[in-house]
Amino acid sequence: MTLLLIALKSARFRRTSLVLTVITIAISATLLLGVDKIRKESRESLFNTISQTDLIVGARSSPTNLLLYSVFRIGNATNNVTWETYESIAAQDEVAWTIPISLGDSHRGFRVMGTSTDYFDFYRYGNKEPLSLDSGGRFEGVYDAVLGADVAQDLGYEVDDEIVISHGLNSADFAGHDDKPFTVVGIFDRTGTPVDRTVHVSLAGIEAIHVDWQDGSRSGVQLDADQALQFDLTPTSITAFMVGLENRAQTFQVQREINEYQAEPMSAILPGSTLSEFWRTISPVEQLLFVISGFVLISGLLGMLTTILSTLNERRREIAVLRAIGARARHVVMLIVLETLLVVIAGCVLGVGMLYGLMAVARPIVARRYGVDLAATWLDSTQLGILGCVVGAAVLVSLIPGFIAYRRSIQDGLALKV
Amino acid sequence: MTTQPTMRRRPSRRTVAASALLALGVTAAGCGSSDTKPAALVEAESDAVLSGGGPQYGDSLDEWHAADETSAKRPATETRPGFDAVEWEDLIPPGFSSDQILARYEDRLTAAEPGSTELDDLYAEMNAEFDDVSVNPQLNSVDIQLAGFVAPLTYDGDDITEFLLVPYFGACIHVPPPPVNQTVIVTLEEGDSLTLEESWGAVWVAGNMTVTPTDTDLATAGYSISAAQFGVYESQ
Repeated sequence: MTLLLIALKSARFRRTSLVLTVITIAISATLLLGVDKIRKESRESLFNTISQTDLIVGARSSPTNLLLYSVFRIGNATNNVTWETYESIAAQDEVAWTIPISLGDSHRGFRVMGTSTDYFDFYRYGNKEPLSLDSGGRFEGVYDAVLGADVAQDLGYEVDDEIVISHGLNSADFAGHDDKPFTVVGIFDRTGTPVDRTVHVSLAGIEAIHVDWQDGSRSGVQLDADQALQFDLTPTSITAFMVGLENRAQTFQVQREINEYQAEPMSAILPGSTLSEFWRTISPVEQLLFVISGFVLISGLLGMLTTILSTLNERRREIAVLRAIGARARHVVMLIVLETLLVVIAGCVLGVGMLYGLMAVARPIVARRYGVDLAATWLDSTQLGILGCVVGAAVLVSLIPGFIAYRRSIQDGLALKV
Repeated sequence: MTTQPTMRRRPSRRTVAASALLALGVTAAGCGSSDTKPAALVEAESDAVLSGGGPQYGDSLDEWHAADETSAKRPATETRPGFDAVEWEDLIPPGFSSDQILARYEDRLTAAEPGSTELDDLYAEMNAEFDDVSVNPQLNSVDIQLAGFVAPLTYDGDDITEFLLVPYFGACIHVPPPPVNQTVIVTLEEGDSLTLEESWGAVWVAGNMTVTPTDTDLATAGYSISAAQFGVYESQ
């Protein structure tokens, strides 16, 4: 206890260099923990987003692209699938259910997805969990919308509010469909998936707002909400659709049938396998990040070592005095180790603090842009292990100056000239 | 006497350099041992991807082993006691293996004009026979062990709890896809799961096989194993 007090009091006289060391350690700890956190969260959110869907079908493109835009709302479709093709595949004996998806519009930065009510019945996420409504009900009318939890929370919407959907994906409402506002009829419970950040409307709703849009810009004759309802609102095409099969042993057969469908070029993917593939291609990057942050830690520890070694000379008299008033040689070593321990623990605490601070700041941006939810959870065993490893390595490193100080303290007398 | 202290101060510079190196080693070792997960991850990764030792698209188990020069000819993962080791060929009912179909068509194949459309038609007919063929009922309720590749179906977190076991790597992308009788739906025991890294190589699965004939109920036809045990397939 006295040693701790001495260490603290001694450290006060070298606070500038020690504070800098604390910051160095904190940065490396933040990096290590941050990389681990991002790795875990992206993995979790990636694999929890879709469940029980056997195939995802879209216009011919790479499996990863199809998966990303249909499930994660990242990127855009290469082309659409015609409604006739969708209907003919949905009608096949092997197919148990389908969920059509129509993307391309947005509401204040959140994607709008047109779908059918089958979405409420058959979409599963996480470990086979169905979607549930926090308030309100499903969409029934053409101008009804059901919001994801984040949309409602971020924009402060409640059931019965009116929203305007804009054409295209820019968040500013330049090209608003303001003449045909939608009414919020329901809000989903939080899922931790891209569903939270999506505005769901019926396929007919998507059609209705585009009735008087020709070739990407508004046509001269503008129709209001009620006039648009007079038109046939059966979609001509959709972006993609999800398929559940009667028998999963036939997955490959149905996939092949769709891939070889004569009337239209399409891609069918197995979401589970595509996810696994996708992760396999990006995981070396994740490991590279880990290695890099490991090196940052090493340089941080070396920086600490340098600081302690350089202050060792300044402290010769201090140590000599300590020895003279009765401190043993091992006390000198302990003093150095204790000081390092204080520095590294302070560094780790600061690092964890910085991590949570960064996560709090980056969370909404990362969630919206990459669909990864950086929730502030307690440190898990791996992360505690990383911190333990940092502290352990620092203590081991501090034994070096400790040993040097120990040797000197035996040799130096009080008469020492510094 | 006066020179002594300066002499003593000198060596410390060398000590600094030496201790810096030591610190580097210590830190590296410390990180490797106390943080086991990333280390294991890196290992699995370098095995599967970086060293190029992983299976290539369309590889069957045999091809994968043939490519790996150090491995023995036959798979040497030991069969669990109480289970029958079966091969993918055994899943095809008697008389419908690729060789047997070929033998049946041999006369007509040799009679056909080379380069004619008749040959194409014959080949399509043979393929259809191979694809349409039913399951092997003899395997029903038999405790079997089978090795193959994984096409994940259901995840719990990022671990796989349900998957399709197929004879070729990358069956979900590779054409032609395996027919129904070359696909086994595997459900692992409750609470058991396969990690993503494990699914990138070959695995063996042991359990009680349920065979539902393809001509009865569409929704359950084919092979399935539930409460299966599994392990990474060793090529040694």
